Amino acid sequence: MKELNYQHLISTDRAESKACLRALYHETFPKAKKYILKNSGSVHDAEDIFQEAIVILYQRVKTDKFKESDSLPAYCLGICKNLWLMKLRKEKTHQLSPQELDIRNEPEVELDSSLVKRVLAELSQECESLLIGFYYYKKSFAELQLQFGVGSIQAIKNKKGRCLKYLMTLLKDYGIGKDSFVK
Amino acid sequence: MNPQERETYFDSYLSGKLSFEEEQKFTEQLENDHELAAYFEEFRQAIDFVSALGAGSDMKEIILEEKAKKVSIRKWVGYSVAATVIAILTFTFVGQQNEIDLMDEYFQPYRDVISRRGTQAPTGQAMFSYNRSDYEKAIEQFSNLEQKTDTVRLYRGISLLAQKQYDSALEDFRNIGPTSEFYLQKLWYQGLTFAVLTKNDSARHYLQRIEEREYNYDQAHALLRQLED
Repeated sequence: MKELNYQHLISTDRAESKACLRALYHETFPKAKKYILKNSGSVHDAEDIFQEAIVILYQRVKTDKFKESDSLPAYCLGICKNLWLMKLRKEKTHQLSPQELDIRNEPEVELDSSLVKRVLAELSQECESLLIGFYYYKKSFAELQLQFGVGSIQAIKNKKGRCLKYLMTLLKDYGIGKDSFVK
Repeated sequence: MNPQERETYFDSYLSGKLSFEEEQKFTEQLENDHELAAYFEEFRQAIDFVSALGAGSDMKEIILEEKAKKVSIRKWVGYSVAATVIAILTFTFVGQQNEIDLMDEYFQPYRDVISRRGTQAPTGQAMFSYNRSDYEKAIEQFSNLEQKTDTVRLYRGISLLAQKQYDSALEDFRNIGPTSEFYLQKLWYQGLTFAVLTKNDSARHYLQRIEEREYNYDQAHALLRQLED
C-alpha cells in the first residue's frame, strides 16, 4: 500500500499524512484489537492504546528512531502490544510474561506513555488544542483567534507563546526529549 | 530579538518560510551560538511533541469516522429489509460483512502443539504447511492421512475455516467429542464458525460452554457480547 510510507506519516501535506494514518488504521487496528481482546482488554482499550501508539510512532519517525527497513504497520503493532503489556503490568491483574503475550519478536521499544499523560494533565486542554491547531493543523492566527474567542491577533500570538513556553518547561521537567520514547 | 520575535523566527525556519539567505544566516548562528542552538533544540522537540499529539488526535477522528461508517451500514441494512430482492442482497452483504469482520477480529490459528511431540509424526508435513499458513496444502495433506485422529480433525478444521470452507470445517469440529484433548479448542472454533455463518444460536450454544480459565474464555466472552448487540 503506497500510503503506508513512514515519510507520508510525517508529511506536511495533511491529506497525505491523513491517508497514511487511515491506511495504518485499516492495516493494523484489527490486529491490535484482536490482540488486546485476547488479553483481557475491551474494544475501548484497543482504541485508546492505538491512539497512544500513533503518538509514539510519530515521535519515533520524527526523531529518526524508525529504520527505513522497518514496516510501519508491524512496528505500530509492536508498540500497541508493548503499551498493552505495560498497562497490564501496572494494573497487576495479570502476571503474564512477554512470551505469553507474544511480544518476543517485536521491536524493543520500552515506552512510558504515562509521561505523555502527565504532561498533558498539566498542560491545559486549551493550550493543547491551540498548539495542535497551530503546529499540526497549520491554522492561521486569524482562525485561532476566532476559535478561541480572543480579542486580537496579538493576544492569540501571546497565548500561543505562553503555552509553548510552558510546554517546553514541562518537557524539560519530565525529561522528555529525543530519547524519551526509547529507554 | 525579543523572545516572541525569536519564536516567530524559529517558526518561519521550521516551516520553510525563510529566504535562502536568511536560512543560511540562521544556520550559521546556530553553529556559533551554542545557547541559541540548545534553545532551538528544545523548541523543536516541543513542536515534534505537539505534532505527535496532533497525529494521535487525527487517529481518534479516524477511529470515530470508521465506527460511524459501520453503524450507518448497519442502519442501512435495517431499513432495507422491506423489499424482498433488496433484502436478499442486503443479507448477502451483511453476511459477507459479518464474515470479514468476525474472521478479521477473532480468527487466529491454534498454535502447533503437535510437532514437538515426535519428529516422525505422520502429521509432520501437514503441520509444516499449517505452520506456514499454507492452508490449502495443509488440507490436502491432512486429508491424505489414513488415520483421522482428533489432531487431524482439529487442525484440518482450522485450515478449512481459514480457507472459508465453513461446512467442511464444521464437519471436522463436530467429530471431536467431549473426551478429546482438543474438546475446548473445538468449542471455540465451532462457535466461531457458526458466528461467521450468522447462526447465532448455534454459536452461543458452543461458546457458552467455555468456562472461565478455559481455552479462549476471554475471546469467547467478547464474541458472545458482540452477538448480543
